[in-house]
Amino acid sequence: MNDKDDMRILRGIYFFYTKLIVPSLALSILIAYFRPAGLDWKTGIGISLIFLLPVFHYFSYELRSPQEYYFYHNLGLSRPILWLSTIMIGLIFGLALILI
Amino acid sequence: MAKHNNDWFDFRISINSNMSGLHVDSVRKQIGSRQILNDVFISCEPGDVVGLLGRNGSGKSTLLKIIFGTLSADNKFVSIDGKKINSLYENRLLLHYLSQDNYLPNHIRIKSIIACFCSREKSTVLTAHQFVKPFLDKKVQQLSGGERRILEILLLIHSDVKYLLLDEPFNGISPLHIEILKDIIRIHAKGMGVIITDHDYKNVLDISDRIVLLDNGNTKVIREFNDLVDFGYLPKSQRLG
Repeated sequence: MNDKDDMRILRGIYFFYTKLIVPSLALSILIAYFRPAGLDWKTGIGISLIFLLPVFHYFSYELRSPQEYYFYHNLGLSRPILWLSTIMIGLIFGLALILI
Repeated sequence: MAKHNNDWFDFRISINSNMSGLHVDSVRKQIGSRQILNDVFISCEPGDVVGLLGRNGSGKSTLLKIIFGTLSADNKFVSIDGKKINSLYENRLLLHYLSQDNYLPNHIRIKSIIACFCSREKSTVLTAHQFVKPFLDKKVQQLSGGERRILEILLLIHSDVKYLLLDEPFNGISPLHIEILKDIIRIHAKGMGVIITDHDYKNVLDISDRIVLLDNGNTKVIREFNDLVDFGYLPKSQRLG
């Protein structure tokens, strides 16, 4: 794999998540507003994000526009890889918010 | 015996390494109780345009998806230039697929999609194209269905892969633009292999070097137009001569 190929795949992943990250984060902030007493803001947002990113992935790509998967398939990204990266990205951002 | 076995393996390796082009063999797919594909074979060389015809439900799209790797088969063998292809990741620089439905992400600007999909040289060519230039700063969702389809085909044709699988490329495109796209496919197919299927068989016949008919789960090579009538793809009223 060369640098250009790396960049194509990274750019593809960026396109995939630009559709998901803003609504997931916005709803996480909203949900965190109603967090239980004793839980701080960042933890509330982090926990919500871990669960909401896969939910938005499911609604956006599995239900609403499954045909868009073919764009990412042509870049070499399979459906299981995209699902795995959704879970990983949700965990990384969510845990970062909780732990920092 | 050991010598014999080694000879046999050497023979197989030499066959595989000499096998240039896209080779698809032994594809079997059963859905429910229906055998959709039954030991299907199809091949394509760089510079070849192979037309794949078949009635509705004959398994054309299923076959293309199996070759591409997005649909599992009960059995399949796909190789490119002698190398067995097992995953989409291995395909990404060798084989691209145009799906029946619009596949471009709606929320991205067209110039960004081109920069992602094509090499710098091909991006320069594509962004200067008469169809693409007016839309560069637009998002895909701002294009009409026909404009999207043209863009999708141009993107694939300007990618650096060796083979293209085009599933109903002319769907939703006006006759004038179909003619232009056929010319573009013909020109670019000199450097890449194309397997194309479309319900408008005349367009497929126009641009194909070879025609393969998918019938009852098997592929049949079409040598002349009347074979399409004999195999029941076209009505008898269309027989020539």
